Amino acid sequence: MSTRWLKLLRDVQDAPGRLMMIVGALVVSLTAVVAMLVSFIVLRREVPRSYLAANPASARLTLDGDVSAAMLRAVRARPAIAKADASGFASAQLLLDDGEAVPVVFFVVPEFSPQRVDALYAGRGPTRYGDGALLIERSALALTRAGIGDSITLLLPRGGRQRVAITATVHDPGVAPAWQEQVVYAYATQATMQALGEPVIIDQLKLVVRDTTAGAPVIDGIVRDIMAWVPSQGRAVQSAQVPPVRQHPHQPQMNAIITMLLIFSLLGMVLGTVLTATVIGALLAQQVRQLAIMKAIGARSAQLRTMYLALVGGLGTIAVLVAVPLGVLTGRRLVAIIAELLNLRIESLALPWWLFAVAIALGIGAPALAAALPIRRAARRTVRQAIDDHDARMATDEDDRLARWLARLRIRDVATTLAARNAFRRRGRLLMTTGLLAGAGAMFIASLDLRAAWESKVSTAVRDRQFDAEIRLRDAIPTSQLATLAARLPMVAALEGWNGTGAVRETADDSADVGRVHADGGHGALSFREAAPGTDMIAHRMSAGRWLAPGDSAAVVINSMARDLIFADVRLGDVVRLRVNGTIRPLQVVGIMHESLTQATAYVTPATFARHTGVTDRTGTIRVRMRQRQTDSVTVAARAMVKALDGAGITVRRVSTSARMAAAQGGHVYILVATLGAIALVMAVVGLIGLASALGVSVFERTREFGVMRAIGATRRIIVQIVLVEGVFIALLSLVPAVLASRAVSLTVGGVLASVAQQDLVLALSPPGVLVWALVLSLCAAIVSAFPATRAAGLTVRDAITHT
Amino acid sequence: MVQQGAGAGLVECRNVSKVYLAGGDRCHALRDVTLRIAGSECVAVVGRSGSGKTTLINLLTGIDTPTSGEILIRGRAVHGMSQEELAVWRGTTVGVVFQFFQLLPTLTVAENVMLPMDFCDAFPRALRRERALALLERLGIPEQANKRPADLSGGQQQRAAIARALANDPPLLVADEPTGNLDSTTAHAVMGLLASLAQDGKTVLTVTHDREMDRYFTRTLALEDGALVSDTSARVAVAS
Repeated sequence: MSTRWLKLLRDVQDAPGRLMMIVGALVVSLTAVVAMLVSFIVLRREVPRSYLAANPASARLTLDGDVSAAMLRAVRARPAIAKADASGFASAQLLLDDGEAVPVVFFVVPEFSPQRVDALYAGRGPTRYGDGALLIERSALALTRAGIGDSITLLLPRGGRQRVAITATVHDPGVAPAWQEQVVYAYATQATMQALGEPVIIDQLKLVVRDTTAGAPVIDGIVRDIMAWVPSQGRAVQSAQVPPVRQHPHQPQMNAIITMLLIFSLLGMVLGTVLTATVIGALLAQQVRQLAIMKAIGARSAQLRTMYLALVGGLGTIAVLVAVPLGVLTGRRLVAIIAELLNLRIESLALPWWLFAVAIALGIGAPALAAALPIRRAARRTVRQAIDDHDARMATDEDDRLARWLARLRIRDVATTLAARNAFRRRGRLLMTTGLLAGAGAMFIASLDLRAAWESKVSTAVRDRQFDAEIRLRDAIPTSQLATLAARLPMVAALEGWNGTGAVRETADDSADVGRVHADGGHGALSFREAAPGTDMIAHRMSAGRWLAPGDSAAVVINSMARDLIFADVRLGDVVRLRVNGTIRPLQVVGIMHESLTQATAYVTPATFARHTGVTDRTGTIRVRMRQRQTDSVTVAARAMVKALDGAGITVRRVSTSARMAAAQGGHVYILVATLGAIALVMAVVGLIGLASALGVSVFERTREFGVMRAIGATRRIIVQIVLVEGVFIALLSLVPAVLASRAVSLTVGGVLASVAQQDLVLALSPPGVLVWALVLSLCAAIVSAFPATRAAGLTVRDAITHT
Repeated sequence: MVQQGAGAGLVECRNVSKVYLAGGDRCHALRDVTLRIAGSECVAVVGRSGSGKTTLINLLTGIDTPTSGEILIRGRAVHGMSQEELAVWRGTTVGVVFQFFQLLPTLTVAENVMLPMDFCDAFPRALRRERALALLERLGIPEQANKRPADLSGGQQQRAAIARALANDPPLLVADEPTGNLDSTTAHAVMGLLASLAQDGKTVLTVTHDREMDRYFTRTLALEDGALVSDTSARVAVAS
């Protein structure tokens, strides 16, 4: 090995700490980038693949009765249709040992074997099923608190209490995870349901069109042909849905989340790269004299550049070797988490070669590129410039306002004043260090802002909802019975009928006879509900117009989500046309109301609802306000109420408590907030490494100063104080840019979050967030400053004299 | 007035001036200096602090550039070279010895001596260590070859620094107060070494303000306020 490389190697051996800091920072940031890239690549490839492999229905038609075998054959025979199947739905309650009831949704098919549309993947247990089998979606097994082969107790609307054994689990990519919805998804044949005393109508016709490239207009045309044909078979179409073509319900949100995380990881990588430049710059600053000596004995700038660039390249190589496997592992874990969140199946975790090329380019190329400038600058310095560079000098330019202001600066005592002034001596270095810390602070504050925004949303929702549970009944009961019912239930403070059904908006382009609701029934759905004008079950926070009045006969009030998702073009006073139960009627929008954490809903008076649906003086859904409104009390009361209703001969189909709904929706958001917090942590680590490095160099450069201070009477405590205060001062300087940048981060991430949660978020700066960050930052800055402070305090007068 | 050495001109300064700007004021570090130094001379540059000694040395080694005038070393104009040309030229033509030795702390003494050979690719790689050891032997510190500079005394470090300056066998050796940081005995030993190098054919130019060292020099250049005020030659220089 030639002597110059030997020198470089010895430099590394002599000061491994700082170089390891570079490797550490690069490893942390590169791991995050690789992990995000892995998730991005795998999920973008596998989500559509997994979704399409199950043959999701291109369209679903709901008829007014059974889809006969002859109809199914006829539809399958159509040239435009590749696959067609029929299915039905049923609801039930799962009774747990402790008496709690969990809603069950049954997907009922004529028989399992030929099901080709919305296909199921085999899970645990037997893989061939027939009549009598009860299949549970894999994510729902935990909710049943049972295993395969175990019996569960079902409370069926018609069939009553039944003990049934779980045959096997299946994976249904078309439904959300059961834990998220707090619903058990079960699958059975029509014969099985019949045997359980719960006959189910197979009224859903599911189609997959043959042309795999067909867009929505083509599919709409095919569906309309079938809709025109169905009456000839003695059936009527109640609704038709063509969900977004070949797109998983969560695909846009997932893309948005991963893209956001990728952007922030890249930002982390940029900061890691800046840190490399800072530390290498600092290393070169320490070696200014050595560079001068080498030039004086014949070294050319190019030779010096090569040496130090090779050093950065070597550090980058180590970082790549550690970060790439770590990033791939982390990315795969993230894929598994997201797949679980979206209830997806990942068939392949294969990664393309270019991912590794990108990782190498980022891990080695980016730091080398960033360090090239300080290296070039140091290598180009003349021997004279290098020899003259005795200490860190203060800017003395008369025109420099900051220098003049600093010269006048007086804080409490000389040591603190000195620390504050020292912070500005190397402004480029100060800029990089505060930039790193500001980036971390922005992410941290933004994550707390988002958390606060979401929690505010939840508390608003809780405040607005003046009911604690919504109960769906198997059979509608006369509304006149409600008052009697309330009087018989001691736990109930108030009770109201809130009938509801699905609706489709009809627009001028008239494609609205076909809805855009996904198979999960949630995305793109519009709820059409009755609400008494004088109700106090929900708060009427109007953003425009008014709430329903007793005399309204063709008026509708839409909530914020309905406005955002379905009626974006509608203004107050406009007339909209809604198709409800096959009938289209015009309604005038008289009000738009804020409503948090509630699906898109159009509210009408009971009289209007009755006219649209034909349901008069009966209710199948009731909202209840309990006397004891705490979450635990509501759960107990809801359980007691179901029992009491059962005793009164009223069968409950489903109970949803407000707390459970809010918790389910919050799950996604908190995962995002936590991820953002983790990225903030990565950036904070990188920033603090930068601060430690900058202070270390600063102390080295000022060796003479510290020696002189010792000579004129400064104690060790004073020296430590100067360096510690300087560290904390620099850290706190990053606070203002951090707060400003956090607004941009909050708004960007908040937009993504709002789209994921389908909720508008009001993002305000959270003062506790800023305060917490300031405290954490000050503490960490003091800790990382301790080492250089101790080193400075250990310098003697002799060290100062001999320092060259 | 041209100050001329005894032999053919190795170093030649023609009307060299250097002006620094300090706080808006012009400071004349050197004023119209003209001199010629021949091969094998052992020259002392003396003068009070601020008289321009270090400036003259820096100009001769290409560390600094003159405001006006010309500097020629072996007939080559130093003042016209780029920084890259200067680095290569310095590595092969001038050996520089600093007051504070300036050995690289992470390399052993032998490796410090080998470094200029490496930068200038002056000797075959296989011969570099052998040459470094020979130079250290000549300077009387062969046993220190594998030690780091911090393990050596001041005198030993300065000997190592001289060995490094000689690594590429340059014709000119420039030393800026090489004994300023050494005790009297060691200082005499080091000066004796430099004088002996001159007797062996090297041209040695040394900044000093120690009058006790006069006897090692064949010629003394005295500077005052940047001007060359005297140029005296001794009959015989004393080598150790």
